[in-house]
Amino acid sequence: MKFALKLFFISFLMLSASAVQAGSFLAYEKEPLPKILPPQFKKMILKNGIECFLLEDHTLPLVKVNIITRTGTIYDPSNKVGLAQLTGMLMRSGGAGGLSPEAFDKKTDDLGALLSNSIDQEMGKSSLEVLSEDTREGLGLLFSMVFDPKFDESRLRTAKLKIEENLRREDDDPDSLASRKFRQLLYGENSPWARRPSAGSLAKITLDDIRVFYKNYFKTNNMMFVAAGDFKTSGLINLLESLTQNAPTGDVSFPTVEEVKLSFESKSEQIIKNKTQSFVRMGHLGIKRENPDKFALLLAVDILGGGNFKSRLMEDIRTKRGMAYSVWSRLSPATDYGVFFVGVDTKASQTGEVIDLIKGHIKNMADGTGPTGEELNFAKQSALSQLVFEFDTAFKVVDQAATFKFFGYPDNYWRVFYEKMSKVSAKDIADVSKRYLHPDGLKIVVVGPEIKGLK
Amino acid sequence: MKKNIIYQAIMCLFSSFCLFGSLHAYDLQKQVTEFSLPNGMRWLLVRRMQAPVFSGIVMVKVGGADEVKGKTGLAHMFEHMAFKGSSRIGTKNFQKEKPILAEIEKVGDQLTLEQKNNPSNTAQIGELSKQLAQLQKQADQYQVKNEIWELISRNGGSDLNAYTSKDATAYHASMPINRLELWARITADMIFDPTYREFYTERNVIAEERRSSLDNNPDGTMAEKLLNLSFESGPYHWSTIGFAEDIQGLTIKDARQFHEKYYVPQNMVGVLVGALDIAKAKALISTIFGKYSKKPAPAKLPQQQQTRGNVTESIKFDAEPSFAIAFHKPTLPDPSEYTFDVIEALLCSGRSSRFQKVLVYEKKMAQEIYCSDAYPGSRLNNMFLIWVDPLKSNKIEGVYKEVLAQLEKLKTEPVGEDELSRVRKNVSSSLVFALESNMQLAEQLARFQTIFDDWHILANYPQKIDEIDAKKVMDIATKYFTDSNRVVVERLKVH
Repeated sequence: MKFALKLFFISFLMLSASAVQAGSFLAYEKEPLPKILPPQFKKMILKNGIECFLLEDHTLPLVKVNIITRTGTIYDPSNKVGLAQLTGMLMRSGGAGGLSPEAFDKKTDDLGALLSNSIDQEMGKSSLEVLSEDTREGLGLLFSMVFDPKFDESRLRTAKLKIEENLRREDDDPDSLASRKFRQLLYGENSPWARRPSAGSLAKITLDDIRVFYKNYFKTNNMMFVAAGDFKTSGLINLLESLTQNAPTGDVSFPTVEEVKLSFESKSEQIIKNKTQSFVRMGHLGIKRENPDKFALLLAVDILGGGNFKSRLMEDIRTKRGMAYSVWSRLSPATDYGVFFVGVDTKASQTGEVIDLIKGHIKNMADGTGPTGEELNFAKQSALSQLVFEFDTAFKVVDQAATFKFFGYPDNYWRVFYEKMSKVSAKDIADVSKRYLHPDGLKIVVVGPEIKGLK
Repeated sequence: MKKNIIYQAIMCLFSSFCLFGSLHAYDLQKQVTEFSLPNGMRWLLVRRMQAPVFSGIVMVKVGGADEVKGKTGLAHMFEHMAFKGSSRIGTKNFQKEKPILAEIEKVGDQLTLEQKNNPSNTAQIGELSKQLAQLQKQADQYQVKNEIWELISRNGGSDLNAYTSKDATAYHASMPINRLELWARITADMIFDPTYREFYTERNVIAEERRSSLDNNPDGTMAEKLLNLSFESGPYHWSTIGFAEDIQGLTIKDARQFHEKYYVPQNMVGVLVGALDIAKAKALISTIFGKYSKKPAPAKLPQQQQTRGNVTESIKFDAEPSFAIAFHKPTLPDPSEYTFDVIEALLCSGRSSRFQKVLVYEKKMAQEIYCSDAYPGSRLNNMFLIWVDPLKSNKIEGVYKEVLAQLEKLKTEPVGEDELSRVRKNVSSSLVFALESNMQLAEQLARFQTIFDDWHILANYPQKIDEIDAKKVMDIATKYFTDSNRVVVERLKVH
C-alpha cells in the first residue's frame, strides 16, 4: 500500500504540470486524489470446498450474490455448439428443487427477487439479488437452481427457439453483425472463440446431453461464492453450510480447447446491406492475459482510441472532421490470443476515407515514435484515478476479488495493476506498439453498401 | 446492446414503474437534504459513506418536447454543445477566439439558410463553405479539443455523460470526493456559459448519430414511426434526436435562443449523492451555482395534443418482424398512473407475469415482450406501450390477437389477491435494487424533482400502490385499452 501511495503522489505531480490550459481550474485539482482503501472482506472455504468472498454492507436492505463456476461455451463439442448456453438457460428456466418451472418462477417472483443463470465463453454465473428480509428463501432458490435443476422438456424447446430467434435478430443490427463477422474472420468460423450455434447444432442437443454437461461442471470444488450486503457474516456462513451440505463434489474433466494460431495476414470481407452507413471493424489478434507487456499495450491502445474523447482517433475523426459519432479501439487480452480492433460507423460515401485515416493512425502508433508526454500522462492518469470506482459498492469489492482469482491472479491484483501501469514509460509504449500492432496485417469487415476497391 | 433502442425507448425515457417503489424498508425521506438557491435552482443532497466518491447530476427541464416544428433535435444538439467548453475551458485565449467564433456564427448561419432555401445556388454555397472552413482553421489555433473530458478523466471521473429525453436533459459524472469543487465549476460552466465552438462539425456528428440509432436500426425506425403516428402534432410527435432535415438546418442562433430561454436556474435541479460533508457541499453549491442570476421560468408545455387512435401502420425493413401496440393514457398527477404501474407489472414484470408466462413460455409465440406505461415521456399525456418480438414460426396476426386477449382478460376477470401482492413485492424490491449505486439514486431523485417538482412522490408511492385493487385494474383497463385509444405499428421483413 505504501508503495502504491507514493506512486500515486508522483503521478499526481505530473498531472499538475500538464494542466496548463484551463488555468483557472488548476486550483481545484491540487489536492491528491483520495487513497484507495478497499474494505476488508472475509475469505473462507466451506466444508464442501466452495471458496467464499463475503462483505457485510448495511447501506441498503438487500443482498447480492454471484456463484462463479468454471465451465464455458469453449467446451462445447464441435457437433453440439450451443450446449453450454442451453445448459445455462435451462438451469434457470426448467424448474428446480422439486418445483415445476411455473412454480419455481412464481416463487422467485413472490420474493421480488432477481435470479439469473448463464454460461459464457469461460465462466458460468449464477446470480441473485434479494431483499435482506428474504435472504434465506432467496439463497434456497439459488442453490436449488445450481445443485438441483430440473431440465424441463418444454422449456428446452422455448430456449432453443429463443436462441435461434436471437441469432436472426442479432444480424438485423449491422453493428452486432459486423462484430460477429469480424471475430469469425479473425479466429475462423469453427474456432471455440468465435463459433455460434445454428438451428442444426441446436436440434442435435437433447436433455440428456444437458444433464451430462451440467453434472460434469457444477461441483463445489469448481466454484466460488460471492456475497455482499445486509447480512451477518457468521450467520450467512452457517446458512451456506446447511444449504450446501449435500452438494456434489468431485473431479471435473475439461476437454482440450484447440489453440489459436497466431498469424497476421491482411484480409477483408464485405457484407452488402442497403444502409446509409457502413459499419466497420478492423484489427488483428492481440495478446494473452499473462503477457507482461499487457500494461504498456493497454495504454497504447487507449491513446489510439480508448477512453472517451481524448484519443487520437476520436479527436481526428469525430471532433475535427465530424465523420463519425463514435470511433473506438480496444485491446482485450484473453486466455488465448485476444483481440485488438478499431470500430466505427460512418456515412457510406466516406467509408474508404475513414478506413484509410484509421490505418494511418495505427501505422503512426506502430512506427516506434511513442506517445507524447501529455498523451502518456493523460492515459495513465485516467486509468489509475478511475480505479477507485472499482470499489464504490460492496458487491464490486468481492466480485472483483473472486474474478481475479478465477483468472489466476492474486485477489488483490488491482495493486499489481496499479504498480505496473504506473511504471510504463513512453519508450515501453513505443516498443510494444511496434511489436504487437500490425498495420499491414489487418482484417477488415464492412457491413453496408458496397465499397469499391476495399483491400 | 441489441435492445438498446427499446431500452432507450422504454427505460431511459422515464418509465414511472421502474423508478417508483416501496420505502417500507428504506426511509429515503430522512436522508435527503433539500434546499433552493435565491435564483431558484433546487438541490438535493444525500450522504452515503461507502467510498470516498460522489455522483453529481444537473437535470434541466427541457427536452425534445420543448422544441418547435422545423427545429426538432435542438435540445439534444445543445447537450452536445455543453461539452465543447466555455469561455474558460477549451480555449487558449478566449479574447482572441471570440471574434472568430462570432464570424463563424455569421457565415455558418448564412450557409445553413442558403442550403435550405437556395440549394441550387452552388456557387454561393461553395464560397460560404470555403469561408467557414478557413474560419474554423483560424479558431483551431486557440481551441483545446475535448478539454472537459480531459479535466474530468484525469481527475478520476467516471460516468461522465449526458442524455436528452423528450422530458429533460441531464449532465452527470462520478468523481473522487475531493474533486467536488472541480465538478461543480465545470458543470456550471457547461450549462451557463456555452460558447458554441465547433457547432457545425458537431451537427454532422449528430447526423451520424441519427443514422446509426434510427435510420439504419430497425427498432429505432419503428419507435420513431410509432411517435409520428400516435401524436399527429404537438411535442411528442417527433423523436428526441429530431428529423434529419431539421438537424441539418439548426444554427448557432437557434441554440443560443434555446439556451437563453430554458437554461435558467429555476428550470434546473441538482443532486449530489456520496461521501459528502453536507454543510460544506451546501456552501460550495451556493457559491458556484448561486452566482447566476434569477430569470423567468419558461412557460409550461400546453397539455393539448392532437392524438390519433384506432390506427394501424405497416413498415418494411431488412430485419425480423416486430410490432408495437400503444394506448393513449393520462400522465401524473392523474391517479390512474398508479393503476397503470400495477398493470405493467402484472403483464410484463418477471417470468410469472402474464405475457411472459403465456406468450413466451406456454404458447412459445414471442421471443421477448417489453412494456412501458410512460412512453415517450411523462410531462404530457403519454402511452402504455407493448413491444413484441415474435418467434419466427408465428405470424404477427396470431401473436397480436393473443396480446389483445390478455388485455381483454384484465377487463373482465378480477385479478387475484396473490397476483396483486406479488406485484407490490416486486415494486418494493425493484426500487431498493435500483438505488444501489450513488448515480442511480441521484438520477431517480433528479427525475422526480425535475419532472413532477416533487421527489416526495417517491415516499408516498407504496401507499398508493397498496390502494390499487382488482376493481381499479378492471376499470382502468376497460376505460383505456379501447380501439379508439389504440395505435399499432408492425414491421415486416423485406430484403
